[in-house]
Amino acid sequence: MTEIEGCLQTRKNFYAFLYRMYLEEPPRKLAEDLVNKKVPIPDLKSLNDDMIEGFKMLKKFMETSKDVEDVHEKLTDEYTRIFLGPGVPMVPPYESMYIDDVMMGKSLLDVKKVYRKAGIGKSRDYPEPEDHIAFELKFMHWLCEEGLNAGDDGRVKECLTLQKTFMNEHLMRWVPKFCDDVYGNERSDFYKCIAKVTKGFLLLDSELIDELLEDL
Amino acid sequence: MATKLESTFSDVKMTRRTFAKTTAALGAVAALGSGYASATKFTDKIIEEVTASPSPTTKRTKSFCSFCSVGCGYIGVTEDGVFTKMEPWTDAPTNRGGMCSKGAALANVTNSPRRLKYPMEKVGGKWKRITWDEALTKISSKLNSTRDTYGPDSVFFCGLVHGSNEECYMFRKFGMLFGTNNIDHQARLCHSTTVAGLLNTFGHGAMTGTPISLQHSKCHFFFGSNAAEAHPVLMQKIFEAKDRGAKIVVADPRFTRTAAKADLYVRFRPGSDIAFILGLINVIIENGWQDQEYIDNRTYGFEYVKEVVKDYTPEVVEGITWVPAAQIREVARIISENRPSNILWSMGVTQHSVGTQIVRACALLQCILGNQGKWGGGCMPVRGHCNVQGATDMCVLSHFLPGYYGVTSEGSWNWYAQCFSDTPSTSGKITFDELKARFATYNGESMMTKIGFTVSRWYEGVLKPEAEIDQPHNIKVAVLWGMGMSSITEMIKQKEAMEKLDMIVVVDPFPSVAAALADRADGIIVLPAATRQEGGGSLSTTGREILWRDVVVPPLYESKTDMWIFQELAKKLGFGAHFDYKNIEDVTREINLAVRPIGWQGQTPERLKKQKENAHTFDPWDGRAKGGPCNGEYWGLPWPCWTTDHPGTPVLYCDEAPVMEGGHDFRANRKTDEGEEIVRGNLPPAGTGGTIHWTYNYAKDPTGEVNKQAVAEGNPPTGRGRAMLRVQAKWTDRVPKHREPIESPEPDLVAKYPTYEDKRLYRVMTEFKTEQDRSIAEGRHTKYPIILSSGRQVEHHGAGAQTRNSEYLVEIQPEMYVEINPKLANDIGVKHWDMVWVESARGRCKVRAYVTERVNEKTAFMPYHWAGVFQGEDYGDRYPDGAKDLARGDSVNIIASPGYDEQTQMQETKVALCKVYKA
Repeated sequence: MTEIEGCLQTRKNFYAFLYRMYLEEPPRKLAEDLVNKKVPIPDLKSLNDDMIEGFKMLKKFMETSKDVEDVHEKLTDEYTRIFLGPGVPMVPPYESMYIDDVMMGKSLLDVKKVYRKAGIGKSRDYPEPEDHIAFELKFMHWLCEEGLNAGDDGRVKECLTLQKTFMNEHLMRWVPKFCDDVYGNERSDFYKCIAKVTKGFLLLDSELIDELLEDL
Repeated sequence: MATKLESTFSDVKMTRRTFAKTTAALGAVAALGSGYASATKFTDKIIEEVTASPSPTTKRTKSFCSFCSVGCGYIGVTEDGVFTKMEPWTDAPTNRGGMCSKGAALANVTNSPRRLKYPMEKVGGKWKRITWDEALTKISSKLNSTRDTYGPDSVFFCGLVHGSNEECYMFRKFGMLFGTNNIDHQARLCHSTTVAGLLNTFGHGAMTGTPISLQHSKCHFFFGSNAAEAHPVLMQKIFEAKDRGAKIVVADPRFTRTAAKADLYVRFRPGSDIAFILGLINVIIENGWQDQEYIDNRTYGFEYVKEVVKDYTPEVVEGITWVPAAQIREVARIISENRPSNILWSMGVTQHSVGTQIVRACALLQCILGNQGKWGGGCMPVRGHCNVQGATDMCVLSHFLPGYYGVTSEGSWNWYAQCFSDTPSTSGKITFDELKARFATYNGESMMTKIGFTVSRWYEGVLKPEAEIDQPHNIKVAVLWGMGMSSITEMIKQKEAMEKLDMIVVVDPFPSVAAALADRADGIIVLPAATRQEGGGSLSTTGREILWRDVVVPPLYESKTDMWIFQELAKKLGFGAHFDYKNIEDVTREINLAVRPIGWQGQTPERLKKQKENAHTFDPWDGRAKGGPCNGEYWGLPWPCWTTDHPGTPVLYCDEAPVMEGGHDFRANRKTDEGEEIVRGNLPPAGTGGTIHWTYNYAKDPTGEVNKQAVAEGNPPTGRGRAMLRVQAKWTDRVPKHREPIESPEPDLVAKYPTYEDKRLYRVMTEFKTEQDRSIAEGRHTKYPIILSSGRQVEHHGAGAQTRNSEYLVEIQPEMYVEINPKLANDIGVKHWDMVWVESARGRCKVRAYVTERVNEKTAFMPYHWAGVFQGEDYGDRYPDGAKDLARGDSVNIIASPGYDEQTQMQETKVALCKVYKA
């Protein structure tokens, strides 16, 4: 395995972790892992401040989590309350709501153009618009996967370049603010951790993409 | 290659900078994360590779507005599948591109962040997303268990005024197969009295012209309609007539924006409407201005009218209405000298304890002037919701089956058992006996032929002791389908009822008051319905024009069309075979088969779609296609449209044209109590009548042959009858007469013109005299010296669930208020926009004071679109988090009158007594 492949693999998996946190209510397995303290806390020295804070809180969250049912219910309620509604979610997880102040705004049209260019779209069963945080993170995940499956460096570079553009023109424009809002409104503490980790990881990944592109 | 990378990144030799350090650190977390990616409950797959077209497509779809009932066309634009904007559809014959502020915000409604996105259930005080299957399973098992334990009448279904004709038809069919007549909708609250009044006078209960036909009038007489605010695009038609010299007369207790455009404005006391109209008829007859030839040939009972109105001289009427006698004479003169004149009304006429009789009085006035059945003349009840006419025609009503077949007649049920079995649109079969077996038996009689509860009093079915209601058990489950609860009066009782129910099911694009009003932690399921921009099917405008909507954008999120929800729910309840339509057009075809009394035969999906594509061929002056593929047809094939060759009937009862050119007549096949056939006294004008054949047995003819025979003989299948100025003896008032409102400011007038005796209506006792006497005994006329009325605002609609959540509309009209006269304001020490209490014998509302000369010193006015504040307390916290309406306000219906119409149980919102004081 090359260094770049390894990096793509880790990034891919981390994006999978993140998009899953926003996709829908938490799976029971996550509650189990939290109670059983199975979510690994990385070596914090090498991470940025947001990630450090996020993982510290996560560690604490796991230490105080005792009952799987309780945790699952608490997380489900919190996910529902802040991201789902009914009605306007407490923290709307949509780029359009952050950038255009409306649902289904210009940002949605813009991201759809990016996806179309990349040759993908949302599946028929996915009910949310494609500027949902989960979908945007999933797109980054998909590009990592594409890079890993690429037969040549050209395609890897293409994927990374797309990620760089998408990061700058979309994710970085609104997700940090979104994460701050989650942090400020969340009551269970779990999504506070996720918000911090998300924000920190995106800041970090911006640098990573640049370095990877330099290497190629 | 990816499969080879099983090991974590920490195994890889690190040489480099940031990613070397950090990705190593994150490797373990990341590896775990990918495990969760597949552990989803709701979302199977999020992304897929597509072979999409290289550039995003822009699609333009012609559709019709979903607010009021004028039928304005627009072009919905989607870019790359997103409903981005609206463009004017300039050759739409009615509005010709124009839209009002509400209509222009349609995309904003569909795209609103406040939309309900998923089925949700309130459990232990918290909302939880559930899957559609879970939701429908829970609902259907609750419906079935309630049905098994308490009988089908323990479920109340209501709403769907915004549904397509097809979905409204399905809703009523759903009620029939579930086995209850406890099904009703908003029309009960807006024009049920119009339907009862006009149907019994003329033969059909609808506006007798179209919005387009208004341009032909010489005088518009607004009587309790504020079209400038409530129906702005219809007002354009009025102005076109005005530009041609037509007069505008406005009689209204309030100086409205419509009144501002009038040649003559008359202010009268709320609740004195009948006296005012009878006064006009008195002056007309006194001066010999009536159309005697018309009266002789086309009406029945004029002499009785003459007898009644002789007591209503302008001087007597002045005492009742507070309108100077000279002004009454002036109005009578203007509407007589400028014929054809029409009369336009909305809730100002209908929402009274004597609503049906006010409508009758208006109908009489039009007949006596000879206007009824002329282009530009006639009765123009302007309706509120985009498909309230259609929902009425499809009879989401507790006393009718689709097409106005009365529920009390077994023949109606026989007809529907036959239609449900014969229709090629579904596979289900059912006999009359099987259908009857779906209903409960109570006191030895089938509930099938018993009229059900109404929207206006449904809560009594929950709250009253079982001995006091006319059904076996209380209502236990309410299914509120697109129903804004704040448009119903007696909200305090409603709230209590919603807390007592076992379960509430709310089907709505917006989790409205219905979900928030009840103080309960469990037992509410909300289902996300698609907006009208996301579903197809037909709608009926206020002028009976049937228009076809195409889907502008497919249902967003997990919202589903009403049609889909009915189909799935019916499947779970075991009668899915009656709902297995392949598409919505199949439902239209079933309507074509079944709904015969109003002539719904010619409006096939194919013809409706063809009209839409050829809208430009219709002449905006008379709405008729000149040449082209729709040559000769009227826009919207207004019902009755008897055959697939018929052009539609834009002006009801117009005997001046042959039936195949849109001619019509009053319904025959009705008899007086004396057994006299109500058939006309002469032949219609030469060339239009044909053979004398007064009546046809067409209403239950599945072949349509009778319709063909009738029109071939030059007659409408409804025959050639007369307008019944005097109705049958079963009516308390065979000719309208003035009766004071339930809460009257004038005890002396109450003594002279008392209301009705108490009556059992729609499964519950309704107090008329008792409540009126109580009001006087309690001295409400002195304790509450101000008359309170309610009405619309241009920016808001219905109960406001949609418009109070639109940023643009809320910016223009952000707060609830009460209009009070400057003198009253100064007397109670209140400045403009101060907070005041408006209090009645029921409760009180805390709102802004809007100090204005629009109302006089004795009257106050409040708009009725508001909710979310309850007697001064903000209910924002009770809404699901983040779902609270953007703009909230106290609801006038908390304090409105407890009066109800004697025929239809329309609530009396237009007259209550109140006091206003500083908050």
